[in-house]
Amino acid sequence: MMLARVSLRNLLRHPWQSILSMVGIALGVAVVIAIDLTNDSARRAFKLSNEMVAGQATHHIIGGPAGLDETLYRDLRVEHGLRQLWPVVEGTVRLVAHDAERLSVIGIDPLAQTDNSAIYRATRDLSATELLSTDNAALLTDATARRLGLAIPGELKVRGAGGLHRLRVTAAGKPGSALEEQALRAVVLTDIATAQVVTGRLGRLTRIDLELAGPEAVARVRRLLPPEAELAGSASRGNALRQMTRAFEINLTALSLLALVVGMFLIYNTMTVSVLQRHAQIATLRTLGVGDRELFLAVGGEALALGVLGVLAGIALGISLSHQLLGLVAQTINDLYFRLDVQKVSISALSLAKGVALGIGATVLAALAPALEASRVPPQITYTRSGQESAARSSVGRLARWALAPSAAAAVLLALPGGNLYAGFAGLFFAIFGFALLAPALLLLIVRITHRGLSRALGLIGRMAGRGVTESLSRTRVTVAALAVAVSATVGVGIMITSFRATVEHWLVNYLRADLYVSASGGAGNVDPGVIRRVAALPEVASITTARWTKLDGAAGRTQLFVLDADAAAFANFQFKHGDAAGAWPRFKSGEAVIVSEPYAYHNRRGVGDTVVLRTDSGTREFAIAGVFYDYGSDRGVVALHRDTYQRHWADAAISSFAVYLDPGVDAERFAAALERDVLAGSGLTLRSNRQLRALSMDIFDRTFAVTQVLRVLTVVIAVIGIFSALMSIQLERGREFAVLRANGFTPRQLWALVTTETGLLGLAAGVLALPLGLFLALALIFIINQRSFGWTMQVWLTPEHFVLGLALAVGAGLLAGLYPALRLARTPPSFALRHE
Amino acid sequence: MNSVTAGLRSLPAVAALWLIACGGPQGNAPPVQSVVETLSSTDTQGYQRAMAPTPFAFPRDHGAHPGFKSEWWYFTGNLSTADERRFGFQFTLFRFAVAPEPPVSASAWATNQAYMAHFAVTDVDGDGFYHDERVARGALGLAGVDSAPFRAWLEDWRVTADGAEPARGCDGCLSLRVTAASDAAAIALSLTSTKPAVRHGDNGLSQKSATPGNASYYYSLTRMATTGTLRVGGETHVVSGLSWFDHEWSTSALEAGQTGWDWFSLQLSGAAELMLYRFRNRDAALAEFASGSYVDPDGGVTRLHPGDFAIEVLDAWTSPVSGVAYPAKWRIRVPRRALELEVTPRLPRQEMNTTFRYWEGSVSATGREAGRPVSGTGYVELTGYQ
Amino acid sequence: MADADPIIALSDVHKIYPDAQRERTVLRGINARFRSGEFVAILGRSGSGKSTLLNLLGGIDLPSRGDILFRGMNISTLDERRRTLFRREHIGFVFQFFNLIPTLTVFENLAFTLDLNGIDRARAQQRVAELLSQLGLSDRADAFPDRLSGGEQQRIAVARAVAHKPSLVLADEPTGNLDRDTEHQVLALLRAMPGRDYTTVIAATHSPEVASCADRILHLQDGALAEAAS
Repeated sequence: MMLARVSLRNLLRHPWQSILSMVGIALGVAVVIAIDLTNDSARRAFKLSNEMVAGQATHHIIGGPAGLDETLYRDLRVEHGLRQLWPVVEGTVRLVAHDAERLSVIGIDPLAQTDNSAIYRATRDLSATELLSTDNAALLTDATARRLGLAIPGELKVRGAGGLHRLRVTAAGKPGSALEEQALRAVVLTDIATAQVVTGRLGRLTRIDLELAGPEAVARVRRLLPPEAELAGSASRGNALRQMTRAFEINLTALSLLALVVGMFLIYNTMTVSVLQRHAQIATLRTLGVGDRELFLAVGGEALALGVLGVLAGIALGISLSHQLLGLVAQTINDLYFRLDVQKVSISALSLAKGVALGIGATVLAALAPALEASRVPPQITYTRSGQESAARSSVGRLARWALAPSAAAAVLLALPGGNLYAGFAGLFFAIFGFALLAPALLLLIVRITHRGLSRALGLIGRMAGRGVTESLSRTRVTVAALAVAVSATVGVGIMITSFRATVEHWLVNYLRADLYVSASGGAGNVDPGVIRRVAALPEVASITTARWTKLDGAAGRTQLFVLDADAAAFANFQFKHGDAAGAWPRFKSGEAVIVSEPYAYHNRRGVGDTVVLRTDSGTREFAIAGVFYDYGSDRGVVALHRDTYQRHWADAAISSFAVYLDPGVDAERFAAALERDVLAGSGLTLRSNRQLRALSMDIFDRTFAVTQVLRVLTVVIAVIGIFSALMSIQLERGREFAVLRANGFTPRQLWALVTTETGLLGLAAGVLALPLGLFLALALIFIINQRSFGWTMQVWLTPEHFVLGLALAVGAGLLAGLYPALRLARTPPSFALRHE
Repeated sequence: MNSVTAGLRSLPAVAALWLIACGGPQGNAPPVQSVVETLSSTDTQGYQRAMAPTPFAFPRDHGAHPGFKSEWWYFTGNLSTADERRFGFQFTLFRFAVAPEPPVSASAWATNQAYMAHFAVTDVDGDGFYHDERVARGALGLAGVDSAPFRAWLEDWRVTADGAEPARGCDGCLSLRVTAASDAAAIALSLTSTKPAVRHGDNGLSQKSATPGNASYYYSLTRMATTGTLRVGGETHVVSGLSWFDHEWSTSALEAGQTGWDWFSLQLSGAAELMLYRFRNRDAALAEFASGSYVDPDGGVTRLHPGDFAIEVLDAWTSPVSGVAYPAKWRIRVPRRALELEVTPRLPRQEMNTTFRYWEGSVSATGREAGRPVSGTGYVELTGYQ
Repeated sequence: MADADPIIALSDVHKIYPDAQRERTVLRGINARFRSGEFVAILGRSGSGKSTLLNLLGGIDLPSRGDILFRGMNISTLDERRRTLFRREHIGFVFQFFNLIPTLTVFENLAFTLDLNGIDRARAQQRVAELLSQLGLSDRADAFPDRLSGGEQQRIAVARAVAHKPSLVLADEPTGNLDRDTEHQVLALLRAMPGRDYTTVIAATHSPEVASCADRILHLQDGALAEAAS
């Protein structure tokens, strides 16, 4: 149809505008797809590694912190005749040559395996009983061997909880698929005996996998289990672990959606400006007999064409972006949650489809208003633009009143007690939307306020610039709202991160009171008690507290335990949210009570006076909660208990780390150097000073927010592109007006000043509007989103930098956007411009 | 000689194969290695060898000999119910050393010993044959063999001394309880030897080829009175009859060029027993290797040399599962004893589709000995047929 | 002299704009009939309501009072959609500023109304080619309007107005933006439009040149229409 041709030609006539808004949507979609792919890849990697270890198992028997007694396995097979069950010993080791490289050692009984899971398939080319016949025999995949630069057969020196060992890699397997390859990437397969020795789990099993058919079989196994053991479905175990990263994923997804929303403003902006520019033409079309429906579809179609192209580009961009993000996300998961090796982005059709649907959906949604606007243009024989602008001005109040509805929705969603995370984000988006509606009114206000200053500073040009903004309100209001939203997003996220960081830093200073901390490297291993005795005996040492980090896995999920043998003084380092150190200490010490961290209390909806149920070696047992303490180390929360209590209920004397308090006046640095040299050398233990540990913690913190920062920058890029294109098109459209000015004696320089003042003013307005919204977003993120995601209390730290930066960004984007049109218009001879308008 | 797996090159090959068998022993039958391939091993470094006769001492020698590469405890028997419903059973525990020395490790799982068990029941009148296989390591009490009191087990399949005293002065005699169950069949039997242990070959040294060391130590309890219960098809029967127990250990046995063997154990109506085996050669130049023992009713043993007996194949049967053709009827002559027997499988389809495919089945025999009619039952083992 | 069977007839048509302060009555009780094929010039000062009258005749706007009958059909009672279809089929427009669609070529501009009226491609092409050759602008068929002179643009605009053979062509200051020579060309075209035999042309203008070409001249003054003596 001819009308379609009109639309298409229109897009081609303004290639810059079309391309920029396409880029906006493309970036928005790319961010959404990239985050979804990244999340999905992490999820898949997790599922895969879970399946890999679970195999065909439908259930697992899991024990306490020290695992299961191995004789349970024998009894189940020999005494009770169970058949489909497989023992597993699993642990982490570090490569001695390569301290950063961690490998999972998985010990199996090759003679018991009948299973068809990835790990066993991967060994199909290998002589599996070499595992049995060769001391410390180990198998890797081809790719892993290559990565580690290992010739086959070869030797891997590793350090695990069982000390230093040489694994003899007798063969390298070729996994059946790329997915298996990925799942086995950081896995060493050994015989169960070897794994027990290397991971320091003699006499213990990490778990027993079972294949059970039917509830009767399940019930029978349950009856056979000792009190410290629990039977859990494979799926439930995986789900419980997945739950841990859920909030993290939702946050990333929400941030990616924010990028898309900004991209959406872009399309909206482009289409609105485009429709406004074509008002006269549309009126002619209407006169000639083009119906409102046709116009609606034509404008919608234009947006859709841009959207589709943008989405297509966004898919490609998103896939490549996901490769960049994957490392960051995987790092965070490893830092905060669990060991997960994820190297490859798995391109899921569903993720792409979601991105496409969201991109197209956002486009259509964004094009709705301009398309409607186009369809409402009345037919007219003689056309004037001023009517349009006066309509825009009169609608300012109406829009501001409309802002009430989304604002109210936002308020309800955000303030609703017990509201969930989704509601929180929905509230946030409503708030942004409401603000966008309010923006035109605020824009007028700002122009009015700045009017006098501008006219005083720049004279005529200043006055004209201010009027220029209000005169073209129909176009500028959208642009300003979009820029304000984008800038506020970066301001808000910035303030949130700064506040979070400052809170954590502050907390660490109070929390890390000891002078030195010694830990088994990277959690792979335990501290030899002999080392602790030797350190304690040193004259400079005032006291030592030990800690044990461990977890209790259960059908209901994983509980992080923090076991410490603190005295009353060290206990006082805890900062309590509810309860207090003095009151909690006696109950904590006696073993009657535990204390829980704030996120634990939040996620489990427990507080002082409630109880925590833990599965001990003698069955489940209730512990009172004597206090809720601030802790930013784990977003799922921890349960802290005294070592005496722990050892009373769990047969596990392992120590993960210890803290050394020195006598006053001892030079900590010199002492540390001596300690390292005389006691710790070759022990595999890592010594860190108070300051180093703090720095390390902050490093992890910063890594955690690396993804957030990337998204934040991308959002800004999208916004700047959008603003740039919008402001540019507004200015280019005024060629005729400027030609008149030029004809009347305006110098190119004056014109340039006028245009950049105007766009700068718009940028400034957007920046000014962005600040309160940014602050609002920050507060919502801190008090509502983070609270609902992780249960953390944060102090708000307002530093001027984010505000200044936001303002500078907005003004900068404005000035930049004015530059090109100003130059172009200034260079155009006036006669040319006049003739062609 | 009583096993398919004599002189295995190495267990790794077995277990690797077994690992490949997705879904376990009852699943798809794994590819069966040729016996020759399996037995033509020279990797005997570090293991004990059967070089010369050595006096057996019981109960010690009922137990495991972990310094040898392979070993098995073989129970076969023919049973019937009061109303003459006939059954056969086989329960075997194999032991393989995967390395000459046990690994140096503090773990209770560490071992160089692996065990495999085969369990089969033949329902002669119900035309059924059920077999199952299990593997486990010889550690942590998952599988093993103790000599005193005697106990041989792999998980919950087990043979244990039942506490009853065998006849005084009966050398090597045992009174045992054998229990094993698969989904399809189960046995719970009491076995009591009524004759002392029979040392085969040269005082227990059973030569398998001309090469020194290619031999095993081998004795049998040839007549064990058996009672107990047997379940097939969800039905449990009270049964009684006779069982035969073989215990053999070696490191290498076969010569290149030998393709397999036929082995016979027969319990005759006159309370005599006959054990015979012969190797089949691919290489015609190779001397035929065969041997046997005739046990008279009071326990006296006559060693049979290759020229002392003849085995003639009268019929053949082709397995529908594997397509392998096995001999299915024999005429055995032992001229020195004026003994002539016709041996017939009580059911043709007694092929073991386990890690190693072989035929091991219940047979019956009729014929004449010293002019008088004689009958009997027993087990025949056929390996290396393709 | 009014024909017994007018193509379009106005009876007691009022147009009142509800302004913020006070009502502004632009047309008060217009009665007029237009015959098939006649060329009528409506003269009047700026702001006299000429455009308003054209808007009403074209079904773009609705009268505040009174009826407009197009071949006996009262278009002031039609809804928006019907009026759009009515315009599409029966009316041709000539604008003061030509209002060609800048993103369509000359050829496509002419084909546009044919396309809207669902004329098939082949016939539309034939018709456009015919019009262009009659205008002597065949060589500009593929040019975009901004490459044409004002006169050429308006000639194309006139051709566009009649391409789909409407019953009524409404022209708003059709020569207002043209020099004298070009004005003559366009007027000649308006008068002797190809196939104009049954097409009524009503042109709002204050150009005496236009008036001099008209069959009939009406004066619009103080919201009332008066016939000028020929």
